[in-house]
Amino acid sequence: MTKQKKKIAVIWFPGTNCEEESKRAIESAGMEAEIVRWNDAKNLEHFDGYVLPGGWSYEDRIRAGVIAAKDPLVIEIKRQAERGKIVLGICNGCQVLVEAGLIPGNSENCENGNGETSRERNREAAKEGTERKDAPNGKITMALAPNVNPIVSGYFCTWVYVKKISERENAFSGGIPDIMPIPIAHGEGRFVTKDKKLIAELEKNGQILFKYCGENGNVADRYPINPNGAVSNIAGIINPRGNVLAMMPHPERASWMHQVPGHIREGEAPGPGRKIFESMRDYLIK
Amino acid sequence: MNTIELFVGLKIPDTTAITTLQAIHTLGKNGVAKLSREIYYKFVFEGDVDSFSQRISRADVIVNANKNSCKILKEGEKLNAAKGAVSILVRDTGDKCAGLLKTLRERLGFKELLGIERGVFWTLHFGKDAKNPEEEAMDIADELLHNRHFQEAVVYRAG
Repeated sequence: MTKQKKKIAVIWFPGTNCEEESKRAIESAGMEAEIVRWNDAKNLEHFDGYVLPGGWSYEDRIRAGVIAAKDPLVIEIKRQAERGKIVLGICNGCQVLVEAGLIPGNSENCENGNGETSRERNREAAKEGTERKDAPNGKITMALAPNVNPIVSGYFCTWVYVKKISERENAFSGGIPDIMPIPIAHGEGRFVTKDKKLIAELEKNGQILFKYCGENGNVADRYPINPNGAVSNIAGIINPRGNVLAMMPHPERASWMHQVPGHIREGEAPGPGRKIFESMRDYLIK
Repeated sequence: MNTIELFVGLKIPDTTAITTLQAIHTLGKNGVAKLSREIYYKFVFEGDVDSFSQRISRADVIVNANKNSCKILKEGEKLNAAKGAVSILVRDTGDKCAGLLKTLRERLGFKELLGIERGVFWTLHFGKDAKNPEEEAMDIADELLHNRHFQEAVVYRAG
């Protein structure tokens, strides 16, 4: 008897443009993938996981990812993530997950610039009868701000290296190489936060999964190693439970070796990015 | 040293404002009846105000006459606000407008230009049942129009 393949929903918002290659990358890792439109999101609970691909959801109106983040479909994905389903946000999908508060997803005790914690702010807000945006139903503790890059302002597309930083158990990094080449393509990819203690907390919790690094793995906060000025060179963050990952680089564009610069002759051999999808598969099977 | 504020709107339908209004309603904030959006600039410069205002409103990197309309506020002038309307100015905190400043100074001859501020100027028009439009507008700004980790939102006081 053959085991049924795990099924991933590839979420398609108006303006998403990486759904097909994401679907192919998921399938190449031995899972089923189905492209699900934002306005036809019935039966989402029947999927084992969700991928929010890259693109410009809602044409980046207001700012990248924010309108999709408020979509009822994302609220449902949030619910499924709380039940343990896996969620991967790539590039614009990463921006959506951060704007939806799914990533980093652990802000209760983070301090803001005035020395208040989110919990204190929420308590004060409850007393006043007002709801803060960092209240438990919508904590936004980070942003993907416009790139800071000495060469070009706005959209920037290149190959970079990322290093796996965390040993924390999660759905995405099983068997992945410590350092991998991977492409980026974004204008707003700079992880930032105003919450003073958040980055230290993420480091301590092992939630920073990927950092931008040099070819030999040195994590230096300078261009071109850090291509967008992200705080602490952050390229990807997982939630505390390890079942949600938001990453700016594109693993689906490094899923075959012929996609990787200098390796075109290796053709259909698996590329480094595929390991992330294989890790998702193995996590779901386990 | 002089300053002017320039508000650049669209003559054609503003799809961003339309989508944003839909998103506001999706959030259950149905008190907003209409939403408009303009790009906001504040120019700091030396020299004659009238001459600068006329030239900058013709600079096609700022105003494309085929699709944009613009209005200028000189120092001491105030915007006319519609009843029940609240304007929110959203700015990226680190935006120094270096590229635009360089283009205007070096390519388009605005040598007298000293600095630029830029933002998005939202005007939310509330229905007559709104109890506290300014507070509701700031709630919407917090929830949707800006992300405090790299942006700031302020209520723009009109005259």
